[in-house]
Amino acid sequence: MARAPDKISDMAVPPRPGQEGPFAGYQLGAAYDEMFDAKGDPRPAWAGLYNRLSQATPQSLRDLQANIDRTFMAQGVTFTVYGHEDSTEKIIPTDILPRIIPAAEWDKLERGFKQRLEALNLFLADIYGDQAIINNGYVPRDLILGSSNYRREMLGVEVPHGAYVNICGTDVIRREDGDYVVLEDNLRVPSGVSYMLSNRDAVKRAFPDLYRAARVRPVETYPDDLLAMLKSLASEYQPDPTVVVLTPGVFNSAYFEHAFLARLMGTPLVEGRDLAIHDNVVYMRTTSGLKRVDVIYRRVDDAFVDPLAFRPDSTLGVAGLMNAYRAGNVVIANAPGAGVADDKAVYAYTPQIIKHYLDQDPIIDIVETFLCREKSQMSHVLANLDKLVVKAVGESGGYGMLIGPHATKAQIEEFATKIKADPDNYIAQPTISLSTAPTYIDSAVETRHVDLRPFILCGAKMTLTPGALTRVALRRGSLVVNSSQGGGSKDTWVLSGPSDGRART
Amino acid sequence: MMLSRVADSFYWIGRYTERAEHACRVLQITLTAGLEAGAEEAEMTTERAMRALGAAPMAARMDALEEARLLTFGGKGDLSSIHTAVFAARENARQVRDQITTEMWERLNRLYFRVRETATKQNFGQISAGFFEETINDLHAFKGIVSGTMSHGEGFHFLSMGRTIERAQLIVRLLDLHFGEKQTAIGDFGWVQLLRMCCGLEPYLRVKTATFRRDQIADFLVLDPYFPRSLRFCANTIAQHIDAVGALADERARETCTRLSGRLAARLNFAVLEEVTGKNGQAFIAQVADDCIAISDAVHAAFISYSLADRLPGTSTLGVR
Repeated sequence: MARAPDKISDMAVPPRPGQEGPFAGYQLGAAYDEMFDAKGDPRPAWAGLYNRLSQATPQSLRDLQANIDRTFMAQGVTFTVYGHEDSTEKIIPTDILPRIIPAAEWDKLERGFKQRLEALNLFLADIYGDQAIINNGYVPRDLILGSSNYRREMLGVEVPHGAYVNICGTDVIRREDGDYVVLEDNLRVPSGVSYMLSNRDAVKRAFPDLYRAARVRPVETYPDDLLAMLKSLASEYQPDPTVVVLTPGVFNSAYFEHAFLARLMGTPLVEGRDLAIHDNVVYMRTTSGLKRVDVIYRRVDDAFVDPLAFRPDSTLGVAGLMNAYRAGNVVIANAPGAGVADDKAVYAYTPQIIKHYLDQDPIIDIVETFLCREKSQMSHVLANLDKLVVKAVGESGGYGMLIGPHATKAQIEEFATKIKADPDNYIAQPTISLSTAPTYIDSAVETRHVDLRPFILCGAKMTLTPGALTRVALRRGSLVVNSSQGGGSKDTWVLSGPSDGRART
Repeated sequence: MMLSRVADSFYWIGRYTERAEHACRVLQITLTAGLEAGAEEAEMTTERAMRALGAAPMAARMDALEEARLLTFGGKGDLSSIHTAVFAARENARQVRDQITTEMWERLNRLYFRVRETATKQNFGQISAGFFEETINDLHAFKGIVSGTMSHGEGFHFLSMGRTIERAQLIVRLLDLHFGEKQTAIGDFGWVQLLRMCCGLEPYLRVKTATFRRDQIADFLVLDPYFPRSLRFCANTIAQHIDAVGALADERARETCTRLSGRLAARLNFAVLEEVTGKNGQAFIAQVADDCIAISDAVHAAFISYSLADRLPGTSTLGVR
C-alpha cells in the first residue's frame, strides 16, 4: 500500500482540477474561480486548504460534514421554508470548506462598503429632509416618492447620528474578471449573521490547524459590536439604555437568528404583544411590572411595526410605536423607511449618489443596470431578454426573477408581457456568472457559484466585521443563492495579513 | 426582571416535561403489570392508570396496548399524549430560546426528535418499554441540566413551580382513583403499582416496610415530609418558589399567591391522618387539586396577565419600580 505523501512537493504530480485525484469533479468554467487560477494552479491564499484537500481521505471529509450537520440540527440552527406543510424547520446546508479572502482584497471591500453606506445614509437624510437630490433632478421624484418603501411618516424625523441604516448587509458578487461588484443593498432587516457565526464555530472545529495557520480574523465580536452600536443610538439621553430585539415570533423564517442574537447580546427578545405604549413611551411587560424600552432592534418589516401608522391588520408590531419614535422616546433600528434606498431601481443611481454626497468615485462598482422605466432602455431590454437577468423592483429573496440564458421561450414571453404592462416595476442586468468556490457535494469537491454578504454596523461609528456570509447555489450551474431557493452557506475566512494560507510547521 | 411571556413559557416547560415524565412512568408500569394477564387485579390497575392519564372508562379493558399507544403518540388532533407534551415543552423552549442554556435546548430538542421518530414506527408493543425508559431518563437528565446549567433566578423558579404544581395535580388524580375505591378492592399488587407510578416504592419500603395498607400508603403519599412526590412536599416546594418570585410582583397580587400557597402548605403540614383516610378523605384530596388551580390562576394574574392600568407609572403606589 502506498504511503500518503506528507507534503505537496512529495507528490509526483500535484492534483489538478478536472484531472484524476481529489479534484476530478472540479470543473473550471467561464466564471472566476476562487481557489484556482485560469491555469489550474491554486491561488496563494488557498494553498493551505488545497494541500489539505489533496491529502484528505474521502472518509475523513464525510465524517467532518456529517458532524457539522448533526451539530446544526441539535442546536436548532434552522430556518423555516414557507409553504412546506410538514417539517418546516430545515437546517441551512452548511459546507465544510471555507471561502477564503486575502487581506488586500478585503481592505478594498471594507473601504467600498463604508463609502457606500455613508453615502446611502446621507441620501436617506436628504430625502427625508430637504430633498435636495430630488429637487436638483439627480434622481427622479416619482421613483422616490412613489416607492412602496418610502415612508412619509419619517419626514423631518431626527435620526441619531444621521444613521438610518444601522445594520446593513450588502450583497457582492465577482465578475468573470475577478472584480467585486455590488449586487444589491439590504437596508431593511438583513439576515444571515447567525450563520456567519455558527459556520465559523463549526468550521473552526473541523480544521483547527488550518485555521490557526491561516491567521483568520475573528468574527466572534459581532454581537458585542452590535450591542454597543445599538446602545450608542440612545447614548445622548440614556447612559445605560435598555435594548430589545423585536421578533415577529417563532413562526418567522429567521426566528433562530433573532433568538441567537438576543442570547449573545443578553437582551430581551420581545414580540409585539410584550410591548405597550403610554404617553409616547414604550414599555415591556415584565414579571415586575412595566419597564421602559429605549432601543428596539426590530426584525419586523416596516409595514408591520405599527398598525396605527402602517398596515392596520398587523399584529406583529405595537400600536403607537411610530408616535413614540417621532417623539424621540425610543430608537428603532433600522429606521423605518430605510428600504427606499435599497430599491432595485434606486440601485442604478447609487454611483451618482456616492458622487453627489461624497464627491468620490465608487470604490466597488455596481452591475450595469437597465431601467425599464426609461423608454430607450426598455427597448434594449426587450430585444435582449435571452441574455439578461430581469428583476421585479419590489421583490426580494430570489422571487420574481427571470434569468434569460436559462429561461424557456414561454418564460421570456411571459416576462416581456409583464414588462410592457408595468415597466416601472422592472430592471434588467447582464447575466453575470458569479464566481465559483470549492464546495463539498455528495462526497466530492465540486465548483458552485457563490456570493458574499458582509455585515456593516453604523451608529456613533461604523464597523465592519471581518467576515461574511458566503451563500452557495447548491445546484450545479445555478446562480440562485437564496436559502429559500435551495441555497447553502459557507464560512468566510478573511486573512489578517500577507499570509499565503499555507500551514506553517 | 423577566418578560411576562417568558415567565409563562418557563412555567409551561416545567408543566409539560413533568406531564410527559409521569405519563411515561405510568404507562411503563401498567404495560409491565398487564403481563400478569388474566388477573382481575392487574386489569383493575391498568384501568385506573389509564383513566388517570385521561383515557375513557373501560377503554383499557378492550385493548390496553392500543390505548397505551394512543396515550403515547396520540390520534389525530389529540392534545394529551406524551408526544404532544414533549412537543409543547419544546415549543415553549423555542419561544424562550434566548433565555435557556444551550444544554437545556439540546436535550429537549433531541428528545423531541426521538419521540417524533418513534411515533412513526409500527411495532409499539416491542419498542414501548425501551422508549419509556429512555424518555424518562432524558427527562431526568433535563431536570439535572436545568438545575446545573441555568441560573437559579426567576426563570428557574417559574419552571420549577410549574413542574411542582403539575406533579401535585397528577398525584392527586392517581390518589383520587385509588382511594375512591372500597377499601378491600385494592390488594397488595395494586398498592405496589400505585407506589411505583408515584416513583415511590423504594422510599416507601424504607419508611413503612413491606406492609401495604391503605392508611399507611395515604400517610406516605400525602403527608410524608421528605418524599419529593408527596402532596405535602409538593405544597411546600410550591410555596418556596412563590416566595422566591413573589418579591418582584405587585404587592396586592403577590399577597394572593402567598396566601393561597401558604394555606395549602399549612393544610398539609398540620393535617392528621384521619382527615385523609376518613370519610371526608376524598374531599380533602380534591381540595388540594382545587388549591393548585387557584394558585396557578393567581400566579398568572400577578405576573403575566396583569392589567396595564394597574402598573403604569404614576398610577400605582405599590410594587417595584
